[in-house]
Amino acid sequence: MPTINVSWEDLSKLILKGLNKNEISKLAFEVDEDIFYKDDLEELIFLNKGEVESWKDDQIEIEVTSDRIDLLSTEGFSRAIRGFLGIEKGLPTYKVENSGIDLIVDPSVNQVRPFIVSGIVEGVEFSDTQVAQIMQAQEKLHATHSRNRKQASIGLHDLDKIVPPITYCAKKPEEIKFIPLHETKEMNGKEILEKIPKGREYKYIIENAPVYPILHDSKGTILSLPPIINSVDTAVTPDTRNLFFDITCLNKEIAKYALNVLVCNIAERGGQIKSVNIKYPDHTEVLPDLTPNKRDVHLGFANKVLGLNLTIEELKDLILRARMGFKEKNKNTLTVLIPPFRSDNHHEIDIVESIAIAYGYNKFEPKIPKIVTVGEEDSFEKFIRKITYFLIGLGFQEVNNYIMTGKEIQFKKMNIDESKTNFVEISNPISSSFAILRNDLLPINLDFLSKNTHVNLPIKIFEIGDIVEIDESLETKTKQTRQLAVLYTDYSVSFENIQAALFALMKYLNIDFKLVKLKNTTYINGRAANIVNNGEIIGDLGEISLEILENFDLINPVAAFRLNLTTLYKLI
Amino acid sequence: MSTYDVNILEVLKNENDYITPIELAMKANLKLEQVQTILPRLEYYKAIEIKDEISEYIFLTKEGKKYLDQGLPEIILLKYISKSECILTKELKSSDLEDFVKKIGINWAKKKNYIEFKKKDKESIICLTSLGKDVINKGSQEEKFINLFRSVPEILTKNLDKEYNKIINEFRERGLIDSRSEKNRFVKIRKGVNIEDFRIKEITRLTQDIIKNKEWKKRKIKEFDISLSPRIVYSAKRQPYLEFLDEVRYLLIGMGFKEYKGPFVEAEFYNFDCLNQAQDHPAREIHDSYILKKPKEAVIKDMELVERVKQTHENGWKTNSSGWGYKWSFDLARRLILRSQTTAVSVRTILKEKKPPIKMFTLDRVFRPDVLDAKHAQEFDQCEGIVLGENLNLQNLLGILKEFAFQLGFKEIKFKPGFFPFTSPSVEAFVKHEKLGWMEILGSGLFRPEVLIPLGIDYPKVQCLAWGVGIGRLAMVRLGLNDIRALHSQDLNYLRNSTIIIKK
Repeated sequence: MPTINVSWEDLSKLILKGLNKNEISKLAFEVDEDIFYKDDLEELIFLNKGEVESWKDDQIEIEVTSDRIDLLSTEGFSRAIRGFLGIEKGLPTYKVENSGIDLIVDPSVNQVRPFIVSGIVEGVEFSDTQVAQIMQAQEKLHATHSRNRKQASIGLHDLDKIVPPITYCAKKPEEIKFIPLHETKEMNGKEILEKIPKGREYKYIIENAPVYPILHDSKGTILSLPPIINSVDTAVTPDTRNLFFDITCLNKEIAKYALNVLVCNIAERGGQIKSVNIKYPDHTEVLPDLTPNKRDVHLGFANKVLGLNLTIEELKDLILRARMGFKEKNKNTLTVLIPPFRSDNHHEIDIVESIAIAYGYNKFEPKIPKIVTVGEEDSFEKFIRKITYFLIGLGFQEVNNYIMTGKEIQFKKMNIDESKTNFVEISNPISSSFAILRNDLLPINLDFLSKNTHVNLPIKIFEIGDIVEIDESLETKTKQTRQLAVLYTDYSVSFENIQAALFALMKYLNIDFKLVKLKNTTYINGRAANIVNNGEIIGDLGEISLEILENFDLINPVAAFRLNLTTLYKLI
Repeated sequence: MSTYDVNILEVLKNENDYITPIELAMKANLKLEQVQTILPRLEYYKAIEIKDEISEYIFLTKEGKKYLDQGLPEIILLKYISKSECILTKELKSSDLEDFVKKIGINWAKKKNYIEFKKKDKESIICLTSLGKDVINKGSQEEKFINLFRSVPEILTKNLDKEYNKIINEFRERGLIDSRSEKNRFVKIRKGVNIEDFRIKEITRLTQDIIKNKEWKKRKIKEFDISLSPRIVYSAKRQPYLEFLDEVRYLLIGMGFKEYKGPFVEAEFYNFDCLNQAQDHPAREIHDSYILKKPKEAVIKDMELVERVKQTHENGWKTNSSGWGYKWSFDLARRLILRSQTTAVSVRTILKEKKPPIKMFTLDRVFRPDVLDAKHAQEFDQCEGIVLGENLNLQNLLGILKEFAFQLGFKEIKFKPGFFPFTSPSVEAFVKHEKLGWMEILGSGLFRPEVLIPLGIDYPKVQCLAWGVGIGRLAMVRLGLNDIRALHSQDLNYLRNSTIIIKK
């Protein structure tokens, strides 16, 4: 989830904007000299979906849930908290005038990045804090909401350096020439993608297209090569007063929300939002469009989900505190007006969640539901637990290894040809030690012994755990079973030691079995057997082969048995 | 004293010098464990001397072996420069010497004062110092040392000349040598010990014979020194983390929940699509989920369910949701992954049981790509629960969470609005730990209509309260662990020495 940095003082002042001393003293949260007490501000952030990750001097780092793009800035949190405290309620309204500026979309962009949205904010006196907040919101919107610039990418320009109309078109990379931001030399499209850091980072989005998108003004000045980088010619400086936003995209919805968040955030501190006429060959869109979205909310539904008995009047107040508006539809239904920067409302339930937040998560009363059920442990798990305690009684220590493992331990050290083995393999492992799922417990437990060659003997261990094999006949193409592996090592140990433990366990489980001679590479020839019940092999035992001991660097002999507990369970 | 004690003393008397317990056991015809039990007693009675020696062996690392074959970089460098005493720095840089000689060689030659940098005609040059010339003429200590390994793979440090101490330290620091140590025990009989004194007089160990033959009436029973510590006995135990997981299991069973299981290898359909996670959700990308190489694709047979989920993603279907507004792909839904959240088990349980009320939990493994270190692991356990039924609401969810936290030993809990793609309202719960303060332990919420309605649940009449805990972190708090790897420890001494932990 994204984290943002805000200033303690800036956030406090923005929340309290316009309040006099008397009004401030009436708040349920403590304020001193226009600054919230630390604990109180932390709780306000907490109750409004933010979590303070760190707090150093004036700098607060807040984790924001990924659904709330409107909270990725001081302005956003202040807007929400002002509603929560009742300082400013209802749908925030921002006046939009048409700038008269046209942005012409050339069909050539269809080959690479077909859409663009755009907007203007004029007459802003930027402070350093505010500039930092705009940059931060832009960066965070890129990372998650815009899927790392792929779905949408945001550009900011100094409007006064642009001569409209503006054209969005696509050209061959070699034909695009300008000086990218933070650079000193003119480069062409190909060079920008290869030579500058942002080029290398985001080139994957456009490099396979025959043409790259650019924005240029009526004088031919290039504004940017989206989604990579802007040009120095239209760069925003501390003197910039009028801002021009462009957001090129694959997904128009995502881009519109990002635009709305940015222009509304800036307007929270002053400034005039102006719209741009985006001219496609066949139609024109006037953006930003700050018309609220609408969704009905029913009093009965809200009360049912929240377990409250709100009246319609109380519900209205909570909606206003959630910074939403409403129109009455009928006695118990309101048509809620959702601010244009809220992208998180897919269903009536989302409005109800905003109502719950406005009500205060700290005010709900935890109540145990009156549902009567009988708790129950799975009988197979009971069976497993009984075996566990029986083996501990025999003096074996329980161990717990990872389910993911590597081919080195699972096959190579076991002298097993992996091509003849049935196992699940990962396509994107991070390490070769965890690249497959174990299909047998013995190897990882021999590995366990190899890590304990210095401890006092004898060592008696066991593990009960899931193993996975491919089975094409099943829904997930895999069969998961529970296996038991028991290992015994000492200065001197033999077949009889492990046989005695197996016989004790089988007697306890009251299962008939016989041992049938086994010849394989795992055990020493002549000292190995299959454990057979009614003609079915349910496990095996023996002394581990000397080649395998050598592979695991083990210096003491090891005897072991394995049982398939999933099969065994069916026999009792 | 037993006859074994006397046997041992007789063997030692014949030996006269230090021998190892293994040799002693063989010569006395006893088991090694028997000898090891008896030795401390004989030492206590001042009959023998025990000496424990730690021997350290040093050996070359991979890098050390390379230098043994090719020469030490600083020496190769010196030899190269010695052709002309001084050399232009840039000439050295463009020479065909290998990179390791240029980088490591220069560093060490400079550090050891074999070379010095000078200026000549505005160019930087490197010259041999008088010490450097000595090394060329007389050979160096470090070459002499590394050459010792030509004949033997490892060297016992105590056999080495003291003059090498400095070099050994340097080589250790450079990672050219590594060491291992062996602890060896030696025993010897003390001078002037009379074995006759140790022949049975008083009764030490009681035996069946002594009782049956009433011998104890004739002989004195020896008093023991009860202040002596016994030999350490290790009991077999449960693995501490697994024992904690069982405690959580019983706690949930006590709260009326039933345990369910689901497969590790799961179709994305159950792990994501059924949970309203859009197909371009970042959690579905390769750095957040393990995608299988083999097998690759699940066989999902319930095509009606597939259709409902598809419609819900694309346009909301009958859920009154606006949906995600994209073209849903069945191929992606069939892709097999390692389960990344136990919520997949909740989905399967609802599909299987269908009818409310259901109170289920699952406590099992999930997998996410991460490098294994003290804080992260490629797999960990989640504990997930749902309550599905009529007349359930947010306050009931908070009630369950509060009770669960209380049962786990946390008396204070607070709730924060959260976000999960499959719940609304969503809640994160924080509990107060005596020492660690507030900590986030679980995520929860009411399942969304986009999840429940396609699964065949009569929403909003029937609601589903759901929560999930990263149980490993709670286990670490309870077991006092700082390293997540200890939950799957391969250190037997840790397991043998684990102590009882009881929540009161």
